[in-house]
Amino acid sequence: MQVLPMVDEALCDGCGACVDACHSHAVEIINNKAVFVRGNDCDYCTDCESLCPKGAISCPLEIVLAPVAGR
Amino acid sequence: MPSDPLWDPIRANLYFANLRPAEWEEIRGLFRERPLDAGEIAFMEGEQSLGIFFVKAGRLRVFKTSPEGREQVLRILNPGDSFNDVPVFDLGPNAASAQAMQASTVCVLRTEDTEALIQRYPALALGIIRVFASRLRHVTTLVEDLSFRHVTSRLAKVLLMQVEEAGKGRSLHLTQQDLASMVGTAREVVVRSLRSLESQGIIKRERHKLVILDKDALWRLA
Repeated sequence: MQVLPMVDEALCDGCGACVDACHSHAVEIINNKAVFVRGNDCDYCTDCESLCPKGAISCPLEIVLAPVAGR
Repeated sequence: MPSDPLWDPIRANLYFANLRPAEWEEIRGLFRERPLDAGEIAFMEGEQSLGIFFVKAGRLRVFKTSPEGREQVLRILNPGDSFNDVPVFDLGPNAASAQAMQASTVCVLRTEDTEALIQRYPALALGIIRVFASRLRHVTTLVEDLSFRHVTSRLAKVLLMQVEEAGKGRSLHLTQQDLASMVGTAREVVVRSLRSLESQGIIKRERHKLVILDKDALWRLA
């Protein structure tokens, strides 16, 4: 399953800054909340996280080691 | 009291290392458990202290907040870790805030119970001294890092610590803001530092994964 940015609905006020920022058009405002309706188009650039004025969007990163070649 | 493996990390805490089984069982009976939802605040900096907290399950972060609202993460807490020890012994308010990073359970040993137990069990007092010594060393290192290390160096150290934690089965999903709070800088600076590491071929982004390509290079930076 595609990992998507997380929206905290308690903080989201539907301002649409994320929609304007998203170059993939993955997110829309539905019922005054940001919803990632085209998750497959989201490239996880994290611009939405940085531009959200309410801090309602978070893009957690998993920090991993690259697998060693040959194993 | 029946054995419960969820208590094992707390039993292994330095506080209780020198206690006999019967002494530990008495103390275990005094803990008050409290579940926390992800994001829930356990307590706020400046509030009156309730006692010493221990993580029974889950993960929390301890942080201080500047008057401008910027957060500095002091510690990431795993099962067995104690926190909010200082106000129990200096009788001041909570020195920092604590927040659950995922659904968690904490156990509280109240201040008055702690004082009574120390009187009865000197082995507990020795354990407390060892915990404080370890904590002082950690804070000293943090001060050193914040004072002398460049942001990219501090970020490299945090990334290496997270990989080590992941190797112990304690993988964390951190936002760039989380990394900024741990490193002691602004999110935008972390973004630039990550781009710099990526341009050097030390890390690469694969959607939600931050892949460390050259661990040795990261160690040289840290």
